[in-house]
Amino acid sequence: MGLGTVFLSHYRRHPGQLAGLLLILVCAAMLWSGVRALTGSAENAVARSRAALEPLVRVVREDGHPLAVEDFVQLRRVGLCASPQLEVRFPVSDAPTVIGIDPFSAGCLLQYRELPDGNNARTNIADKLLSSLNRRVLLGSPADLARWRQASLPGAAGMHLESFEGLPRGQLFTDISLAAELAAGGQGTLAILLPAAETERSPLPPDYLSQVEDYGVKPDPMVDAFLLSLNALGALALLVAALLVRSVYRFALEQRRRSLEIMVRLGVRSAHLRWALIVEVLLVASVGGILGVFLGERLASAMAEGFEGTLAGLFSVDALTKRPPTVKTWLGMVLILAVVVGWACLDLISLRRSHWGGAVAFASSTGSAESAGWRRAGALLVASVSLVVLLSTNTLWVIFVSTMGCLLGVGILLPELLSGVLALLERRGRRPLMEWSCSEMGALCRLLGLPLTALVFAIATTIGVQAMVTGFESTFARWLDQRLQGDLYLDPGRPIATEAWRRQLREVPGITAVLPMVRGRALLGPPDLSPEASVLPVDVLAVDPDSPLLQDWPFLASVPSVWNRLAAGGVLVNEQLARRQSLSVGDRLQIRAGAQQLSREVLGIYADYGRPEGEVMVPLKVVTDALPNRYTAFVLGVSDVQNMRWRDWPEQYSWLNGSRLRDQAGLKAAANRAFSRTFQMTRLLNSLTLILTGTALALMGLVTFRMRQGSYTLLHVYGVPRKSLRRRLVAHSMLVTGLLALLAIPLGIFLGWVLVARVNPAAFGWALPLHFYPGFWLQVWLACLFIGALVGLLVGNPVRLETMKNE
Amino acid sequence: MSKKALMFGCMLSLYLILANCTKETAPKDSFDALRDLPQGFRQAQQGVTVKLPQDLAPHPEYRLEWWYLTANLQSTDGEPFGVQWTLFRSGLKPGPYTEPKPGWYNNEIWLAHAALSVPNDHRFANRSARGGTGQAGVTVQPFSAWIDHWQLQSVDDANWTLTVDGEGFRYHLNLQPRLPAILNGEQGFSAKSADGRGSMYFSYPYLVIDGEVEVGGERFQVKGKGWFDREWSSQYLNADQQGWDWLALHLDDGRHLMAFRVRGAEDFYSGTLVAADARARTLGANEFTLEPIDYRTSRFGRVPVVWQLQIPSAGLDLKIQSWAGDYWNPGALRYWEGPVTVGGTHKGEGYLEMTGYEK
Repeated sequence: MGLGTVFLSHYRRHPGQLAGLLLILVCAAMLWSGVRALTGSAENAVARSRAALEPLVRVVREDGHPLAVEDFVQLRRVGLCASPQLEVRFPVSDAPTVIGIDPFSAGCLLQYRELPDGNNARTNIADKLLSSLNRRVLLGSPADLARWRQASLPGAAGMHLESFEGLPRGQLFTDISLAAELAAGGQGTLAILLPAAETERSPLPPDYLSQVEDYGVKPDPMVDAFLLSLNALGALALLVAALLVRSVYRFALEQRRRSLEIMVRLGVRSAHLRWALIVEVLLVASVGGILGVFLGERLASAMAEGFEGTLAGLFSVDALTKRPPTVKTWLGMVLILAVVVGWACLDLISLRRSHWGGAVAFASSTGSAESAGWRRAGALLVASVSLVVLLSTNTLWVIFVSTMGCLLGVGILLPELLSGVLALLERRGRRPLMEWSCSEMGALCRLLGLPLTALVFAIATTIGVQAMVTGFESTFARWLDQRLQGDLYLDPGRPIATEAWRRQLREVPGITAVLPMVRGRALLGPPDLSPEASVLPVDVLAVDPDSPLLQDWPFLASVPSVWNRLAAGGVLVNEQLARRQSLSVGDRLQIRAGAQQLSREVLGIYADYGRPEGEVMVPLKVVTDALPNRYTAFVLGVSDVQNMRWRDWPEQYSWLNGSRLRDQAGLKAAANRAFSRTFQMTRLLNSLTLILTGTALALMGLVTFRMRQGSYTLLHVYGVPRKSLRRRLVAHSMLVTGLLALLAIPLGIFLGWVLVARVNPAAFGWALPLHFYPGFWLQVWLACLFIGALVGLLVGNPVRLETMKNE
Repeated sequence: MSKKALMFGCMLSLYLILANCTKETAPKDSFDALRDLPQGFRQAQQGVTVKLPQDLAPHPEYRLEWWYLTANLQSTDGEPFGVQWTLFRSGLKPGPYTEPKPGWYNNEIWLAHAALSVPNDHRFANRSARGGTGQAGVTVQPFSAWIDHWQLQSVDDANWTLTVDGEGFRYHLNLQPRLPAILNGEQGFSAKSADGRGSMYFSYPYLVIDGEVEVGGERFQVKGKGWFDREWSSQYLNADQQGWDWLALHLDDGRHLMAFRVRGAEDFYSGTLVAADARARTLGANEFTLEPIDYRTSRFGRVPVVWQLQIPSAGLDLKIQSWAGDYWNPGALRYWEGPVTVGGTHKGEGYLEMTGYEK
């Protein structure tokens, strides 16, 4: 019988163990590579959109007439590198917008010239459209193409729909000639864009004006923080898995003690045996890792759309591209597997020949009292240093590392603490059986140290993440209630003339109040335009301060009669901007909105949850039509929202065609959907970690209890009934997990605080109040008891008389 | 010229029809556009006549056409310059186009190439545009051929101007056609193979040029001679033909000469000799020989750069030598377009165009 067969025979007898090991490795590798695939593609999308950033201007006619082909030609004939863009919107809700570009001149704009991923082997969108000129092609993401098919618009037949990676959501790209055809069934708006540098090189012909379309300034690194957070969660999953693999593997070795000893006695050289074990670990790790990376890709594909939605909603990052696992993903995997394997091998190499079968081999690994003391001291030191760092930093990655340090320190200490508590109970115990039970549970804590630490992590993250998510949801809901004062929300679906619409809306019967909300982009920074000047792009929200719909707007800080003073001059800023720029009420802000320069005093700071962008709020009369990216929406007050037929308005009033009306409930549902998507991945990671930990604990519990069968059998021989012992075993198991969960709850609360008070401000710019959810803690605690009970019940009868044979 | 035309057609078609070709596209594939006759387009053939000046206008019923100028210029200090400017039109759909203009259509594309050469330095720029907008086009009365702000136009019956602004170079030239247009081939039908494929082709063989050239920030007053070609067709080449060599020369005795060879299973030769008094004579394959006699290793392969052209009946035995340097025009379909000096029985200057040699 070869060595390989002997090795395999162990897993033949304990298939569950192999399955468990593989499951842990697969899950961890899957989570890691899945998260990495998503964050990696997001990082690329961010890098790509940053690479394509350039100051852009939009040309408009001085006489205000819409642009036409002749205007484009006139600009080209004077030598300006201008490119047209025909945007076609359709009256069907949910139909993607079609963007027609002219691939011959698109090269003037960096966004179309830039190749995705900087990979020259791939085609950029202009080249792709050029090569498909005679094929009536629409390019877009698979989801948008599906929406296009569903919309089945007239005139859309005979088109080739092709999936093209890296395009913004909700937009299909095509040649401008095809867009012009489609404009017959929708509403087409022609824009002519050119790099700002062009207008500096040669002036626009008379009769034309330029408006800032894009400042070309790099946005905040907020999205990096978001991605870092996800990566940190992925890394946490890997760390937990590493702990679990190591402990499961060591227990497997413990089970194989006798067969290994027999092999040594039969003449197999120690070194040979060690190598065989190392090869085995490598094999298991490789199989698990490869399977995991493969499944991670599937996981990433399954989650890609939700993730894209989150990124697009939160950070305006579009255009994720699917990509094979990157070198970094593999490197991360290899690193973790190397640590796991190395750790396991360290145990193997440190085994002495004489110890192959000796109980000392594994007793030593649980450590002497002295080393336990060192471990405790070390864990305490790590936890305290990490806590100090955590409290004194605002840098996100340092927050993550120090939180990890706190978790690690406390995670190691908790089973020790539990074991100490049990030892204390044991000494105080009056009844022998209780004393035995305490000692038995103490032994469990020592033997199951690592998986219990992993369980502590899982419990703490579950509680912490739940505190953040639920806290966010309730804060957000309250905030939304205060902020959404109107009854209806109107999105015109296209840029419109604000005042004209306001007048028309006031004349619609039933509408009692109209509040235009004009959004756009501006820069904060000094008035000089030197490229070295530090500027920050922000959103602009322009409102009418006199509107009754604003009077209950919640503020974190403000001057008295803030709306009156805003009308007279001043600016309001959102919390994110205030934190980032260390602004407080009374400070002055320099704002550049297109060509307009404003200097205004901060009058108030308002909460603006759910997105990271900084925002300034100014009176409507201050912003001009040339506000970059100007877009107007309306909040409407109506006399009777329940019984009015407001849904029919777009059909009733032709000027409302293509616009979208929603009531408050619809808006809230949409906002909540956006946020549940944002937290979807966090929750998924979290539950998988908990399931993984539970499974590992159950697996190891089985092995551990089998190791302890001797002591149960001994008690049975002394006269304790079998049933009673069985009950005790279940009770021991439940008590260990239950007590541990009790101790882990404060750690979870601490983690919740870290997330809402430390991570959120650093990653998103807003802080949340910390709420407590005892009901959820109870659920987690019951889940832990259930895991304990499950393990206890799975072990079955702890009395095995044959274990007495060696005594 | 026809070769030149062929090449241009290739470029245009390549851009238009084979736009997905990468830089690595095999030249053979690119030439397919010149070999296929797509449905619905007219084909140039014997019997089709040339009318002037109407045929300076675009021919949307044909697939490929071009307006092609080459010029040999000297600065006041005697520094030599070579100038090429070409406007191509490629039909995606056979015309005539009936849509009300202008608009965003998908009927045709326009492409322009501009090059400025000095010995050992060759600069190139290109532009492209869709047809139907007015961004590029050609009119006859008055004659004007343009794409964006690049423009060749007539000021009056005897004067044209060319304005080009490339990256790192620009030129503004005044051109005077000193000889009337001559028809190449048989009454303007220029065969490209023995089986009668070819194109409609006429030339203004002698333009007197002066003006200003700017390169690398330095301006030069220049004057010299130019050759202007006009050619259109829908199918140029046979399946076995791989490329061509084309020459347009101005000789010091006042004669002008165009000759080409299309390389295939059997090479095809043709040419036109224009006397100083504008009388033109079509040269058949048995009337002249055109042979490469020396090669140069260039960026994109080994190319013939010294040629011997013998026309015994005209008393010509010419040694034609490319300027030192590399005159490849880059792009999906690369081609060599460079000035030459003429020695042998007569001195002179001109342009050499070659395709199908690149690696």
